[in-house]
Amino acid sequence: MEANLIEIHGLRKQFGSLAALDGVDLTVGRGKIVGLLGPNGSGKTTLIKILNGLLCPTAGSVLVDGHAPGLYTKAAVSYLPDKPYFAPWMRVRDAIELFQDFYKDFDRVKADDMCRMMELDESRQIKTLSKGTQEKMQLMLVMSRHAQLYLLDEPIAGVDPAARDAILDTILTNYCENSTVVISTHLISDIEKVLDEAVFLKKGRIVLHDSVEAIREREGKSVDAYFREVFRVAPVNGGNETCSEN
Amino acid sequence: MLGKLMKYDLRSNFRTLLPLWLTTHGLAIVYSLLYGSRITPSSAVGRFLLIVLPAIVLVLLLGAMFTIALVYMVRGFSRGLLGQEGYLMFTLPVTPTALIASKALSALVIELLTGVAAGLCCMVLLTCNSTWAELLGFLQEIWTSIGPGIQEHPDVLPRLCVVFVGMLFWLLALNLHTYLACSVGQLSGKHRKALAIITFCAITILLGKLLPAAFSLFDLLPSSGGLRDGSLWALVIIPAVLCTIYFFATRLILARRLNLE
Repeated sequence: MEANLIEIHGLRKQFGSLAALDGVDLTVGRGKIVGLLGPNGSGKTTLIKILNGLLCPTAGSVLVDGHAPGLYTKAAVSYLPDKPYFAPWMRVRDAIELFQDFYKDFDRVKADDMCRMMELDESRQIKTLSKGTQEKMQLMLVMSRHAQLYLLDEPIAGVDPAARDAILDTILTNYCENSTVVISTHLISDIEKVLDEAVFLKKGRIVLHDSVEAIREREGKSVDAYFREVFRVAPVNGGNETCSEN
Repeated sequence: MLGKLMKYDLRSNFRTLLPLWLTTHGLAIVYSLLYGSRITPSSAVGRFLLIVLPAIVLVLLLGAMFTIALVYMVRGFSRGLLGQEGYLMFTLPVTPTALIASKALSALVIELLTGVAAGLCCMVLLTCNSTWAELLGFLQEIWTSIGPGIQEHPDVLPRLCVVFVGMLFWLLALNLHTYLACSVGQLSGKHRKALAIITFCAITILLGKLLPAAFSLFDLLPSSGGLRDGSLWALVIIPAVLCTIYFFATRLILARRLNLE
């Protein structure tokens, strides 16, 4: 078991002429909740996909617990994508059985408990669930695993504030304490209270990686307020807005 | 893991195909009963509704069975691995080898079962002009003549087995040919479908040039009848080689150049 769970060196990802990631160096330890924060198009999802092995980097190295993305890391990483990824024919029960079939660390008892808490009907077809309920269902599956690393891509985007609180509570109460959770989002104010560390990503580069406490002490403001300052964008016709909220 | 993957692939296909197969068989039974009853309506409209229309619908359903099997073969890979569902499949702790093999073998099973279903439909339709007893008697006659036939021509059965295995390999090669084209297509950002179609056509054209030469190589081998027939083994070896090439090329692309944007 490596000391650092994630080690990224000189990571680049090019899509044609667009540099989605441009020389990212990042080290993340164990037992942390890390916020991967940045505006839309900053490279958060690209970074998470590379960690999952869904995209191949153009250059650089990525290691999860000392292994490049592959069979070992797929068994160690629990991933929540930003969009639903189940086949339309599946019911909630089918998705639970699939996870139980393929993941040795999947806790069926925990999944059933979370289903009851979230009032998820296992016989419902996934495509008939509302967006917020689909998010909760996917989160239930992801958090029912005893993974080393949880990668949650925009877990609270597109859901109402009450559902956001429920999702954040689910994350906090169900992840394994020795594991690391990486949450990518641009909704900082909702997520700040749960974070240990924050990574600011701007145009494919890391501009800040520090503990949330250190940021607050140094800057004398919340991470959300500091984020708005770092990512301030001058609007077209004047005014005083940032690009952090959509 | 391959078995588990195939279980989910086949389940997703059976949900649509099983009702289609059952509907087609049901219509075949109804049609054979209608036609066999010798009820001939006096009006042209009546004859159209009772005889012609069911026949048209039956032919369309049989065509739909094969079309849907083909569509599912393509869609199972392009959507199931390279679309949104790929986020799930490629994050499961299974190798790209197992994922590709699962799709190819599941598609092969569906294609074979579709063929069997269509064959059974045709057998039902054969009862239009004969009773079930006559049909069973005819089948029994064929079965009893097989034994003496095999004794007289002992090489026929093994040759048929080789041809059947060859047919399986050709079907598998078609599936893997399509998957390779889709894999090449996903390398492109915006023009995935166009690149996939161009790749499919390019490989087909290349095969059109190479296959006659490959078959002629086997014709040069000495042939002494029975299983010692080069052109017979060409039916198995050539598609097996194609399957190997397609499979490893697809695997190389998905393992090293996966691009699920």
